[in-house]
Amino acid sequence: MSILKNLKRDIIKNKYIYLMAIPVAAFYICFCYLPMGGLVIAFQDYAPAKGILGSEWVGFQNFINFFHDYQFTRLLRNTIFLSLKLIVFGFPAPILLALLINEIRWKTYRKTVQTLSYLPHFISLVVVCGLISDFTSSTGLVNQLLSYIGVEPKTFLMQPKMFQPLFVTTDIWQTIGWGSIVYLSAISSIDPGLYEAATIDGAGRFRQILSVTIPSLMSTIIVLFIMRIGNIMSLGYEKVILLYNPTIMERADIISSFTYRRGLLDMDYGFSTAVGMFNSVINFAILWIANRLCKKFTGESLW
Amino acid sequence: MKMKRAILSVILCIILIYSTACGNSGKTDTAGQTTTGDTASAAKEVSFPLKESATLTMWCGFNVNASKVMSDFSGSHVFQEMEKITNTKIKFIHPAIGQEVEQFNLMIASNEYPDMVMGGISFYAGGGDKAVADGIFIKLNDLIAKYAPNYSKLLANNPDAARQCSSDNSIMSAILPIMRQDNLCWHGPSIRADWLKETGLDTPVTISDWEEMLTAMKKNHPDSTPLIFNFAGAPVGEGFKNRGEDHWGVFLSAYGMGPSLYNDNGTVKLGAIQPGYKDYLELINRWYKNGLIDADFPARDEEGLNAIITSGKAGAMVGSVDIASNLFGSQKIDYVTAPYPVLKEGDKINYRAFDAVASPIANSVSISTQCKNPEIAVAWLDYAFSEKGSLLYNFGLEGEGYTLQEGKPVFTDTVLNNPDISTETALFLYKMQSFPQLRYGAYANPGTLRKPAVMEQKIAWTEQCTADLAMPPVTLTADEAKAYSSIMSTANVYRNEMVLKFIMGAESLDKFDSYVKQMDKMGINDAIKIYQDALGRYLKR
Amino acid sequence: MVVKHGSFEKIFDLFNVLLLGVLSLVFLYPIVYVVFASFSDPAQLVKHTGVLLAPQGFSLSGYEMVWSNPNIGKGYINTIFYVIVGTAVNLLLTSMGAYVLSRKGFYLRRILTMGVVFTMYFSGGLIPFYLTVKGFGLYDSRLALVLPVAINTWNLIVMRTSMAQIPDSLEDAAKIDGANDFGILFRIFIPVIKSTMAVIILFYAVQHWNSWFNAMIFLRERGKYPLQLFLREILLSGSMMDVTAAGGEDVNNALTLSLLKYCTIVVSTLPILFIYPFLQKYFAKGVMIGSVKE
Repeated sequence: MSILKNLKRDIIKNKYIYLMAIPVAAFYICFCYLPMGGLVIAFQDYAPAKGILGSEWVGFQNFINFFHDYQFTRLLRNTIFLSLKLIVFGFPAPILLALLINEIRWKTYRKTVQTLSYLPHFISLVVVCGLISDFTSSTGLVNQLLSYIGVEPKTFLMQPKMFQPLFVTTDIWQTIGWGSIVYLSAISSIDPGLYEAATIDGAGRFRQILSVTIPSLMSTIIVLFIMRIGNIMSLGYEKVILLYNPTIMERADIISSFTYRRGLLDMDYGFSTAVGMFNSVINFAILWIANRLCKKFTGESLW
Repeated sequence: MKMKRAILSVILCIILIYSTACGNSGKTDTAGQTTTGDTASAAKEVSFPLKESATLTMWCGFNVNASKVMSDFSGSHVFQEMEKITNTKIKFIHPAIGQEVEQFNLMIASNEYPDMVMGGISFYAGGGDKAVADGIFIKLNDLIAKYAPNYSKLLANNPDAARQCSSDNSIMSAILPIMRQDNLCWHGPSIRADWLKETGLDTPVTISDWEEMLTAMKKNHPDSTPLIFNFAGAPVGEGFKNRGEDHWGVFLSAYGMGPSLYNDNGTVKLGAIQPGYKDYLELINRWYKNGLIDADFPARDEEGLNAIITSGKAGAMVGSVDIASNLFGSQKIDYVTAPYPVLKEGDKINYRAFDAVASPIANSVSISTQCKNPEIAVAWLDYAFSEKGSLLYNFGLEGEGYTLQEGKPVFTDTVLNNPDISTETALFLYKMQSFPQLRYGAYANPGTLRKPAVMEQKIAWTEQCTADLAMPPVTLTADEAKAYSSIMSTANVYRNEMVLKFIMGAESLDKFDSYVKQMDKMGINDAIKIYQDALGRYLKR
Repeated sequence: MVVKHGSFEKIFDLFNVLLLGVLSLVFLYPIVYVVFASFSDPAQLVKHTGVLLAPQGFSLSGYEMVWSNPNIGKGYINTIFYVIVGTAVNLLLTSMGAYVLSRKGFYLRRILTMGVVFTMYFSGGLIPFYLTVKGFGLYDSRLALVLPVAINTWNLIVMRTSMAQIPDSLEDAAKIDGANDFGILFRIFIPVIKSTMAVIILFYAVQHWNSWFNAMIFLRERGKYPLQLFLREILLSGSMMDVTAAGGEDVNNALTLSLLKYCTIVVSTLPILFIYPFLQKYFAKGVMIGSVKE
């Protein structure tokens, strides 16, 4: 009962905060938590016409079907490896870019670079993937450049080993500028007094980056990192299905592209919800662990 | 509290009873009789134009070319004319173009259905029978017998159409478009005329003729790709790019089989595990090794393919002849078409691009259980199968869309050469392309009629080959469909990987037998059995 | 020592400028490619592969095809409406949520944060979402494009993080002056985190600009469609979908397919690109001087 008592006291003390929380909570309840009841269809043989109440319950059958799929291990392995590469290389990239952009002293140039860097974010994936397959074909630009240094031309998208590096590189290229915006804005809100103090202490620019800029960015970095790592299982299918073909399937096929193909053959909502739930549970567990670890070692955390 | 709830439920009951009663009385009113239920509808007569105007709602896919001149299909001159003829107004509900299936499922989930639904039996998981069993669509057999004389007559005279228009359980859950005659074959091999002439060879007939010609072309133009398989129009993931076989089986059909599942005289077979498929793979593997087909074909997208052809680096293309005439035509290159290749001269080809008589299923129309006037709806749909109605839907209004020349309808320039709107738009403004009707097919397609040469090429292929090996449009039960897709979503990936490895030489063809065994292990025969059963039921209809 | 530092820094500066210059070209190229391609002659574009350094021939036929569609103008107006109204609602709710979750003394802070983050990972799927939104009477309503996406949790967390970094002293001073939480949020916090606000505005505006899925499932009347939905339709019409639908009868022109793709990108992307320079000035170094100094 002490919880209720504490809550009551807090409501009296922070009444405006509670007032503000009402519409926000209402949004989350109405549009996120209410529909979440639909998760039960992971345990059903769901048919839209019968609805959630009328569909047949099948227990864990949908999950079992997924785990028993012939290619389950391959899908899981590809998903995790691709995702890890995206985190290891893709997460620091925008931070680095933000730091580099911030070091440019010529204002116009800085602004121009900033503006240009985020352009690729706006090009649709279809076009991006078209350009990728065009440029990396055996007669494409990349191979032409490589042939100058004596590399034999190869169609990248037919080399299983090339797929994931290609995917990660182009992903970084497309998202780095957009991702750096958050960090640039965080850098811009660092108290200039801190730099002044560092200069007085005789710190050069590199020192300043290490002892002022990065520490000031740390809480943003940690929060975004926790959220990013909690997305390890959620890799969209669009780019994969635009790029893959049977010759590179062994490295390119991931969980989401698999469910997409299943979805094409028949609208099996129960199955795809089960796969989604499997991903979500793993994601949330990892998020939980990451949050605990970060709290323990850095004092920063998501909650 | 309990009291309140009790009162509330009583009120609800009253409302419910009241509303159903109203529904019934509404029916009997229009019929002018006082009997109830089935007898009322049995005695009802529908003759156009209706004395009292009626309004029906229809959920149906829209078309972007139509959207340029109308905000929904009621802007089409055909439906405006239909309203005059029948005194029935149709209110169209169009889902956003492109994701109709998803939106169909949402509509079903919300339990609110319009009177008529287009494409429902192909969108609904489990098909038309299941939709009827689940209480979404009504069984149309009796209604069609009574209110659709034209449609019934067509089915009576055409056993194939009759088979395709009702299910294994003899349930008619939709009214389907029906072709007047076999549609023309639109897909096959075409060859650059100048390159062919350069080789000094005749138009190739057999596969060895083809090999000779392609080899000669490669010699004349070393950096060219003599043969292109254009997969435009293939269902997602089913083109040569992904499966190593043309989606209409050109070249493969010479070995007496069709692509993916085919019907060999009542037995369902999968091409890719037949012994003959090894011979086919040997051929394609050799062509691949000798540079006669695109070295990068698995990674080449549609634009890449087009670029090879239009930049003058391709000698021949397997694909839609409409596309061939566009692509070659854009660069002012002459082309000729070749017959479907055979192993030895005189062989018959039994697989080609074809349409089922009752197709496309996506344009079928079902009537929902929430429709108040199913009789009017059926009669209204039936009009498109009368001679007059067929002319209206296929050619438009006389004087506007067509004129009669020697008794035959001929499109006017308003449709064929309209400076203000494209031909694709005319398909929906002056005629109604995608709707259940007695179809003239290619003979009412202004796009094809404008190119007489293409028309002749299509006719030649149609006359050369039969589509006897083709799988008829069988229907799977919901459980069968699920079992099939769970086997095939995995087996197909393996099949495609292996077939491409065989073609590209990454895997020796000696391994063909162990590949077949592996397919077996993955349950491929269970999947084939599902289709075998479905075919058996289909043939029994 | 100092001299050494300086020369090293100069080398670094030079390297940095060059590196970013090269990267900028890499970033710029695709959009240049798209623009060049969109002005090309379709017959020449279709045979082109590789790098494009100028339009292939010149023609406006792609743009003519896009603009001949009467829906484009309507789509622009609708989209602008959704961007403005949607972003306004987003900002109001997100800033309140971020404020609430950044209050250290707030009893429910931890559990609410967890509850909010949870929604990023678990969702009920399309059909329950659709039925819920429809249940609120939002079907075929413009609000269906605003309310169900009123808060993006990622943005909320970013804003919360930046509010949490504001020194307590600012808040304390305001409380002494008699301001309540609404006053603190709107008069003090939001101006202080101007640069974050600019980012959030950008993210929300772009999200609304690009979104089409909710419009597709919730809007029935075509007059309410946003631009992206119309453009999607145009693109799909250029694809070969119709081949199967009509039994191989009306194959669209393969030539205009790619041209249309590029033109629609130009038509749909360029306007939203112009929002960035306006917001960019808020990220300039040192905007906060006045407010943060104690």
